[in-house]
Formats: sequence, C-alpha cells, structure tokens
Amino acid sequence: MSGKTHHSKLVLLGDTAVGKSCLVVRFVRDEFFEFQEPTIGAAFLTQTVTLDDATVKFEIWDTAGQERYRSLAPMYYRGASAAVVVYDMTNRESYDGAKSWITELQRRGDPNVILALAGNKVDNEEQRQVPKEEVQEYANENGIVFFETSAKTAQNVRELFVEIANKLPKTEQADEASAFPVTDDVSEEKRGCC
Amino acid sequence: MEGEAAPSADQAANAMANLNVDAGEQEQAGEPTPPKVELNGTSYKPLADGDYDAIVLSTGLKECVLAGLLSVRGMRVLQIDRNAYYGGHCASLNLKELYEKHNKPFDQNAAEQRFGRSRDYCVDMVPKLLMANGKLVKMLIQTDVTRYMDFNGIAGSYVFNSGKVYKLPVTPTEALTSSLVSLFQKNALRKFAEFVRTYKCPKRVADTLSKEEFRAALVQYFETHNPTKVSEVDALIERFDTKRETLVGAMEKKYGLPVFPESTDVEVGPGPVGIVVKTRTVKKGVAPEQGGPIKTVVSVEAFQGDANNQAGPVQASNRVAVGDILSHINGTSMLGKTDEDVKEAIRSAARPLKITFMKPAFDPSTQKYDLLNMTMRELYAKFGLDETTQNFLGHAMALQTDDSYLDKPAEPTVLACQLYGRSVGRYGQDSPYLYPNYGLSSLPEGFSRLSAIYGGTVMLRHDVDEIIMDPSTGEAVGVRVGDCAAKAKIIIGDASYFPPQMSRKTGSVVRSVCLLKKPIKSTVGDSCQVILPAKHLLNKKQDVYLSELGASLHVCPRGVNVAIASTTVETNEPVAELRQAFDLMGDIAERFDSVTDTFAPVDDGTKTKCFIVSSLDATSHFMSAAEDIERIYRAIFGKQLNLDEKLVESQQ
Ligand SMILES: Nc1nc2c(ncn2[C@@H]2O[C@H](COP(=O)(O)OP(=O)(O)OP(=O)(O)O)[C@@H](O)[C@H]2O)c(=O)[nH]1
Ligand SMILES: [Mg+2]
Repeated sequence: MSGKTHHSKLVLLGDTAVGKSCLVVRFVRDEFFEFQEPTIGAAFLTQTVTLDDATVKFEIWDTAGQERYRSLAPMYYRGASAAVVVYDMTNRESYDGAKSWITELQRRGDPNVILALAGNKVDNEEQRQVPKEEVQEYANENGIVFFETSAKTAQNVRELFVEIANKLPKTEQADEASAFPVTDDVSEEKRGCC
Repeated sequence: MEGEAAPSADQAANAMANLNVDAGEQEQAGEPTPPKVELNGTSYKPLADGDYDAIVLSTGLKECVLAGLLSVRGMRVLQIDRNAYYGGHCASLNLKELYEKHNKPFDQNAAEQRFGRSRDYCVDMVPKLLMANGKLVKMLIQTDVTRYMDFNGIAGSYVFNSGKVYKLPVTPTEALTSSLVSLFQKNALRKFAEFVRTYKCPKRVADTLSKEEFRAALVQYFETHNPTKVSEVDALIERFDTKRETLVGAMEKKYGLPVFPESTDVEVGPGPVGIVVKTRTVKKGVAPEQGGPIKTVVSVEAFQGDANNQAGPVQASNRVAVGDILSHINGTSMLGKTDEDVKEAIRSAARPLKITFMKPAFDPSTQKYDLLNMTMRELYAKFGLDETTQNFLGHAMALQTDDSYLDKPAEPTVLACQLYGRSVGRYGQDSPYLYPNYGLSSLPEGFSRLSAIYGGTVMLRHDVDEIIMDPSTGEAVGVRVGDCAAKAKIIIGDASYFPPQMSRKTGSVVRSVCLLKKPIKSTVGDSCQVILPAKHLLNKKQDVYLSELGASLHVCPRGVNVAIASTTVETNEPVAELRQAFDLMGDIAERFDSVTDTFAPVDDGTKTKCFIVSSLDATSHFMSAAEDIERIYRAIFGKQLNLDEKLVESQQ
C-alpha cells in the first residue's frame, strides 16, 4: 500500500471484435455494454493498480484502425512495458491471429516487455473452439502470462492486470524527466522582446 | 522497442510473409460475397471498406495532419502508403537505413563500433524544428496529439555572421549585450524589440471566411466605393488567394474605409450626445454614377461631458473611441456626409435614437504604424536598423528565406518576430524550438493515430496503381490498388501518387546528414539551430540551414551528434553550396548527401478533388509546412482552420 507509483505503458493487440476495447472498459470503468459502439476518441485510458509494495499506473493504448492492415506505428510499441494480446476463445482464427501478433511483438519489441495472452469471452463456454490446455502450453513455452477472461462477467479481468503489475520490474524510472508536457495550459509567458 | 523508427523493407517483407496479409484482400470474416465497388462503370473488389469521404496518399507529415483533422471533423478517412513505414519523405531512419538510403555500404560491426547501435538512431530525412508557439504546435495541442509524444527543447538558436556564429539576442538585455549588435544599433534594436513585443495585431477576419463570404464582402465594398471594379473581383481573389490581408489592406488604403467594419450601436435618450464630430476626407472613390464615391466621413473628434461634467451616453458606453466613424443614424447611412449633415440628423431625429459607430480601417491611436500598408524595408528605416541587424531579424528570427520580404507588407514579418519571442522559453526551453523525442516521424505517427482513433484506417505497404477520375466531370472518384478500389469524395496526397501533370517541379533541395563526435563549436548543449543568411555566404541567394541534434533527444547514442545542413539548390554543385555549414561543424565523421526535387500542385485541387501537398522545403522549421496544411484545409472546407479551437475533448 505504499511505495512509489510506477508508470507503465500497456498496449492491447489482437484481431478485430475479440473484445480488446471491452476489456479496457471493464478494467478502467468496470462497465460492459453488449452492443458497444466503437469508442470514438478513446484509445488512451489510464488505470491504477495498487500492490502491497507499490502502485502501478497503467497507460493503456488500445488499437484503433491501424492494426487492421498490420500498420501499427512504432510509437505504439515504443516504450511499452507490457502487451496484452487478446483472442476470442470461441473463434479459432482469432487465436492464430494472436500468435502472429506475439511473433511480431517478439520481433519488433523490446525483449524486456511483459507479454500476456487473454482468451476472452470465456462466459461463452458452450461455444469454445480453443482448448485452454493448448494455450497454456504455448504460454508456458514462451513465458507469457495467460488468463481466460470475460469482459462481460468481469472474470479474471482485474487478475490479468494485477498479474502484469506484479511482474513489472519495480526499478527506478528511466530518466525521462527531461521531457516536458506540451499543453495549452502552460501560462503564456510574457518574456523576451521580439 | 526503443529507437526503432522505421521498420526496414526486409523486416516488413517478413511481417507480410508471417502474417499472410495480402494487399487489400483481408475481408471481414463471415462475409462470403463481398460487395463490389463500382467506379466509372467498372466493378472492383473493395479496398478496405471500399467507400470513404477522403483518401490520403502517403503518411508524410502534412498528409497525416490532414488525415487526423479530417477524421476529427467526422469524415471517414483511408490512408495509404507504399512504404512499410510511416513518414513518407520525412521518415526517420536508423543507422543501417541511413547508409542504405544513401547507397553507402553498411558494415554493421564497423559502423556500430564507430557510431553505436544502429537501432539507437532516428535520423530525420527532412530536418525541421517546431516553433514552440507556432502553428504546428497549435495543431498538436488542439488535437491532443501531444499526449502520444514527448518533447524536448532545442538548446540554442544561432545566426551566422561574417564567418562566426552568434546566439540570437532575444531579450532587451541580450539586445544590449550581444556582440552581434553594434553600439550604435543597441538602442534602435531595443526600441524595435519593444514595438514588436507590444504590437497588437488588429483582428484580421479575411482569412477566416469562406471564398463565397469573402467574395460577397468584396463585391459589396466595391459597389459602394467603385462599382467599375466589381467585375474584377474574381480575378483579384484568385491573385491574392494566399494573401487576402494584403488585398484588403490595399483596398482600405485606396478607399479609406474598412472592408470588414467593426460596428457598434449606441442608444441615445434625451439630452446631449456628448461628442464633438468633424468631417474627415477619406481617399476618394471613383464612381461617377451609382450614388457616387464616398469622399468624406464624420468621425468622433472628442468627448464632451455635460454641465456637471458627466460623460455623455456615447462615452459611457465604453465602446466608442476617438477617431471612430459615425456610420449610421437610426439605420440611415452617414457615410459621405459632413459634420453639418450629421448634426442636423441628430437634431431632427426623435429620441431615443440609435447611432452606429464604425472603427476606422487604420487607427492611429492604437497602431503606431499601418503595417499592412508599409513595407518591412520602410519599417526598418523608421527604427534606423542597419543591414546587419535587419539581416538577423529577418532571416534568423522572422525566418524569411531570402530578401524579397523587404518589399512586402511589414505585418507578417513583425508577427513572425513576435512569434519567435513568444516561443522562447514557452515550455522552459532556452530557444524558441521544440523537438519530439525519437525523431520527427513521431509527428506523422501521432496524427495518423489520431485519425485511427476517430475511425480512420491505415494501410502501409500498398502502392496506388491509379487515381480514378470521372471523365465527364474531371473529378477524382477513387483509387485503385491491384484489382481493388475504394471510392472517395476527395483525394489528398503527395505529388508522387498523382499523375505528373497535376504537379510541377519547384526546385531542388540539397541536404547533408553529418555524424559528428563533438557538438558544433561555440554552441551550448547538444542541440541547436544555426541560420546562415545568404548575405554572408558565397554566391547564395537562399539561406542555408543547419540543425544539430543530440542524444538528449533520443535520436542518436551519447557521444554522437547528428548535424543536418540544407538549402535550396542554386548551382550545378549543390553540395558545395553547404560548405560554410560544413566549416562550422568541424570534423565530420561521416556524411550522407542527397538532392531531392520539390513539387507543388498546379492548382488548388477544388476542380479535380485532388489536393496535392507541396514537398517539404529546405527550411529547418515547420512554418511553411503548417501554412501548406492550412492552405489545403481551406481549399477543402472553404474556411480557415481555427488554430485556437480545441478539436477533441480531453479525456480523463
Ligand atoms: N460474450 C461476450 N462478448 C464480449 C466480451 N467482450 C466483448 N464482447 C463483445 O464482442 C464484441 C467486440 O468487442 P470489442 O471490445 O469492440 O472488440 P475489439 O477487440 O475492441 O474490436 P476492434 O476495436 O474492432 O478491434 C462486442 O459486441 C462485445 O459486446 C465477453 O467477454 N463476452
Ligand atoms: Mg476496439
């Protein structure tokens, strides 16, 4: 309940309609809407997880239209300390997609990035197409955090993010202190001449 | 993930193989018969969703800013780029890509031994810096794209003068202490600095209007002042397309009354009005028939209290100043009348009466100089500034690229100086400039992400085979990639994606990327901009720009500096035109030269619906780039982009 706040950029990846945005909304706002319109203008949310010895503030980058044709910009991955790859456990193809996203992350990303797999929509057990054991084996081989989740019932959603928070290295922040926020609320300084 | 700016082509090819994504053929699951896209009677497979409001070709900076702005405005946007990386011509490269791009053999071990890890480099192909208070930063802020990126300040801003570099004096104290400013000039410069700092630019509305609104205002003005000119309005608008204020300034100077009057009504009850009025001659119009020209107006000469020294109703309204023109009484025009007419009108009107006042075109009480109607050369002369001072003010501060600005209206140059001053220290940096960590390609990436968040789709690695035009209208209706196509109402993009006759070559730019082991002499910090005005160079008409970036900006490892010199090509030996910049750099460990042709569209695109962006120029800042974005935005929407308007709602 004490200690420093660690900032962590977390990116979400996965094929379309697997429930990435719903997972974020469940985690950040504890809400679920069955027929959620694609959330316009909200691909950047934050949520804090309090651990025993530290606090982790996640900056969550949801994808938005760049992933459909595998056109994610490097800025999306840059500086990310964790990546959650989501598939829909009622859809085999989305699991194949998840594995190729992991391959791409391993190729492009920082080797220290924490990878997690989320087999979403586990509330739909009767329509399961991807056996849990198969994914568990793949996850173990690759050292990936794995949970079966449901954004609908909230099952394992918090657990997933807490597990990632636990695994994050709690070392001192990289020295980014020199960068400064550029916003309009900096008071207009009336210095200088012309 | 740090430092990987642009995935190289072979990586991209791998990704393609791994992921098995075919050009334009990834269709929504569970859709057995995809809809067809019909264009000019031919049917194609849909490219992405097949139907858009706008298609943007290339992911260069300007293209991405426009894609982002259009998406935020609610348009459905598809962005396509033939490369595997973001940025188009202004991508940022790692060391390996830098060598390969310039056809230099890359020996990984040897190169990394000398210069550090390849992946730690983000070298801009087009070096530019952001003016902290400038238009591009405003675009970043109004769209919240700043939230996706980190910025740092550039340490110093310098100007080259007779073989040496000098820090640009900005504060009045610096003006007094700088060795760049001669003893005799110090006081003149201080006065000029104070004038610039306090100059209040009158509200200039011309640029905020749509073409139709602007046209209507000019027609109405000429109908009053010189009806013979009404037939020329369209030609005038065309000629002054990007310089509406200059046109307005010239008209006001000629006819004496404001084109866009700022009026205010005051209601006057019984009792004295409390103003002294006087007839003033304005410049005569030339309309013999049709009501005649307005030769005189009646303006407020002074205010007069009543017997108890109480202010009259006009003065008490606090909206009228000495010098304002009485334009109407109870809605009847007083323009062209004399003070006697006005007095009579007030005497005979029933109370309460309504008097309409109008601000004069040029108000000597608040504006010392009419900057739209005097040249910069004349303004410099008024302050007694010599050539050396003019040179650094005009080129290093107002960022003019050559001396043609001297004979143009002074206002833009004064405003540019003002912008420079207001940018210094805006975010705590010592120069007016900002730079995004990890290189400039984070700018297009950020705006493209903005577009995606607002529903846009991005396709890299897709070359466009054809811009499909409707032969009956001459307008673009879509693009074709292989056997897929997408419709669009407008197409925006880099000239290289369009048929060659739609753009023209405007010149060439030579750029030289140099790796240094030491920062440039007589500068502080590891980053700076040096402007080398042509006057101080051998056989140059256009200025040379030199920018230096260091490890603190995450563009190279520690112990290395990336210096980039650039200029507009004027001779057959372009690289030699940079030699004085090379001299300043000292020992150059490695140099990569390139010459690129620049292009501009042949028209504004409204007829063909093809809005082509101009190539990025040799300047080391984004001034002209932001203006080009504004130009295209205006051509598309018919209205100026309001930079002060927040376009997205800030989250959390
Ligand atoms: N039954 C069930 N449905 C879910 C769950 N999570 C998401 N959905 C549904 O799946 C659909 C897609 O969810 P989104 O969160 O929009 O999916 P996404 O991965 O963000 O999709 P894109 O933004 O298109 O990439 C929606 O209709 C959700 O209601 C879940 O846990 N269980
Ligand atoms: Mg989503």
